[in-house]
Order: sequence, then C-alpha cells, then structure tokens
Amino acid sequence: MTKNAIVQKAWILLASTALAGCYAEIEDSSVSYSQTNVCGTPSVCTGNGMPLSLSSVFIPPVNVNLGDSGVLTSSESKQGPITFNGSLILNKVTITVKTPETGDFSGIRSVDLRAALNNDNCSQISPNCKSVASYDSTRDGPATRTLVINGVGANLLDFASGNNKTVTIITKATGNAPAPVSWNGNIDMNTAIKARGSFP
Amino acid sequence: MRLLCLLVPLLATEAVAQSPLVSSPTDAATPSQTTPPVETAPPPAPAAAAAIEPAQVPTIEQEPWYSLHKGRKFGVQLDLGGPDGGGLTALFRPYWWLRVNAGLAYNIMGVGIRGGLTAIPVRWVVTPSLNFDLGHYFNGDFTKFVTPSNDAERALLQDTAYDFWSAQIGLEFGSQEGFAFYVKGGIAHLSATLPGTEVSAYMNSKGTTSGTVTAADAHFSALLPCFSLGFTYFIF
Repeated sequence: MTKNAIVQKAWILLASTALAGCYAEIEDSSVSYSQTNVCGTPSVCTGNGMPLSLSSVFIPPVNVNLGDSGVLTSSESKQGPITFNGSLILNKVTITVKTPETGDFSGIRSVDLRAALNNDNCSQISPNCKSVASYDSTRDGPATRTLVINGVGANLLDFASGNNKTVTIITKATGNAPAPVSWNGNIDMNTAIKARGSFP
Repeated sequence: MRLLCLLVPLLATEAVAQSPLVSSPTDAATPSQTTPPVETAPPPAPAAAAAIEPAQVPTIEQEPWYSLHKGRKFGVQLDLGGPDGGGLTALFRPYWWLRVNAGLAYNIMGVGIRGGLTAIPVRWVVTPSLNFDLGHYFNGDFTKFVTPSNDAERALLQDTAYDFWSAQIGLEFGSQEGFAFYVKGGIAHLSATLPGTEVSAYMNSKGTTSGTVTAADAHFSALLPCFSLGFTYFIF
C-alpha cells in the first residue's frame, strides 16, 4: 500500500468516525415529584372503609407539570440532521397517609395507576389511558401507612400534553378505603429522566 | 564542505539514474542493441553503490521498537482545538514511536489539566499519528455560550466541572527531532455530573405545579467530532 493510499484511508476513517454515532445526553436516574395533601383541601378521597372498585374515585387525579424546560422532548423529533428523543420512566409511586394517624392502606387489595391523555377519565384502558404502575397486596405484601406502587416502565412523556407538559395520573383501586371518614396524605412519584440528541 | 557532501551523493544518484547499468524493461526487451551495457558503463562511485542498495541504510523504523530513542526526548506542545480547547503540555519521547504529554488545558469556559499518548507508526515527510488524550476541567461556565433564562439555570450552567477524552488521527509536518506542525481530527467524549440540588432548583423553576421536585445528581455525556492544530518542538 502506498503512502498516499494510507493517508487517504486515514482521512476516510477519521471523517467516518467523527460523524458516526455522535450524541449528547443528560440522564438522571432519580427525580422525585412530591405533592402534599394529595386528597385536596378539604379531602375528597374515599374513606370510611368504603369498598373500592376500578370505577370509583380513590384519590383525585394528580396533574404533574413537567415544565417547559426544553430538555424533555416527547418521543422522537428531528431538527435538521439532529434527532431528539427523551424518556421519563416512572420508577414507583409512594402514597403516605399523613392525617389522621389511625389511617392506613391495609384494606387495599390492588391499585392501578393510569396516565390519561385528552382528558380521558380512564374508566377503561384505551389508547388514551394506559396503566403505568400497579400494586397487588398478594404480590407486593400488605400496605400500612405507606402504599408503594411499582412502575411498569412506561414513558410518561408519551402522555405529556400542552406547553408545560402536563401529565395526568389517575389512581384506581380495589379493596377497602382507609377507615377514617376523612384522610389525607402525600404522594411521591419517582422517575428516571433521559434526554438525548443524536447525529446523524 | 556541507554543500559538497550534499552534491556528491546527489550527482552520483543522477549518474546512476542515467547509467545503462540500471536498465529498464524496455531496454531488456530490445536485444538489437549491439553494445553490451556492462562494457561501456563506468565503474559506479561508492556513493552510487549506496544509493543502489537503500535497504542497507539504517532508518529509524528499522530499530527495534523497544530501543530507547537516541534523539531528542523532551519538548513542548502547544495546540488549539475544539471541543477540548487549547493546551500547553510538556512532551517526553521514550521511544521513537511513542510520545507522552501532560500539562494545562484552557478553553473559554475554564482551566484544567490533561495528558495523553501519541503513537507514530512510521516516519515520513508527512507523518501520520494516532493520539489519545484525556483531561479534566475544574470549572466550566456554559453561560458564555447559553443565555440562562433564570437564576436556577444560571447556577446549573455556571460552574460545571467536566472530564473529557479524545481519540484522534493526525498528520504532522516537519521534523520529528525539532519543530513539527500538526492537524488532528477524531472524536471526543465529554462527561459531567450536575449536582442534584442545582438540578432540583432548575426543574422547580421551570414547573408551575403545587408540588416540588427533588433530583439526584444528573449525568451529562456527549460524543462529538473534534479537531485540533498545533505544533511540537523537541528541545533536548
């Protein structure tokens, strides 16, 4: 192989490696969104040990506003040769009874957390309503004052809408509501964020 | 005297090029030539004989790879490029094919340290090189490139330490024992850890909910094309 051929091949290798697979990404494995008084003031959560079904209101819808940070881009979008995509994976949701101290979730049999699109009421799973986390007392063990609902790996950005990327989470449950007539608590949603721009 | 030393081999080589002793295939294919070339050719000069057998001239590539370099071993390197920034580094060459560098790095965003290895597989007039560098910037003020929309974003972008490495192919022009200019290109990897407190403040400043966001440390990484140009000068 001649010197010119080696130099030429080196430049081709250089150009192709420089352009192949370039990216920039930001990742955070634990971003928690917390909201106090998840039942509202006054509380509208079902209590008094009432039986719960998937059609009843256990906890009112929680609207999570992700903000217009510009980092979180739902699904995949292209701007020129750069492809952007992002994900907001729900790791788990924790609901904790704060008041009264006698309240707990020991009567809850199952919980299905659903993300809604287009103001869907999530009475049924549909393209506008998907399950994003679940709890089963047989599988996960009985809950006390804290209810841990494990995520199923759903990308919440697929359900974000509006300029401020609002995600609506609707909680469906079976079993029996906490014993107190009125109760309130905090919700903590733990997520993993990844935003990536790649070229070409 | 030096001029004479240069001219003698040059003229001798010229004489060999014109001599019928070095016959072309065309010459061999024309038996009609009546005079045998051996008889008419003058005896070659000693310098010409050396030119005929270049394989006997020792070159640096023919030295064993493990032989310590006998020439200049220490020098300096100054370069400029992106996204690594510029650097002023000291050079050490233990073997003719290997250079080690270490020194200071600077770009508009901050200062840092860096080091690296350069391998030179062959030595030509234009010498190819394989380069690997890594370094750390102690602070990086990204607000010099990005206009923050609020104080939280400013805090996140203003003081970001980051690491980098780069792998580049280069071409070097000039003397490997003295002054050489080079251009390099390849890929660079940047990585940074963003403090969770600042990420939380940034996300809370962007959201408008009644809730609050608490974030762990975030990690930024990028794989980008890079280039640099600069020079090396071996002093002793």
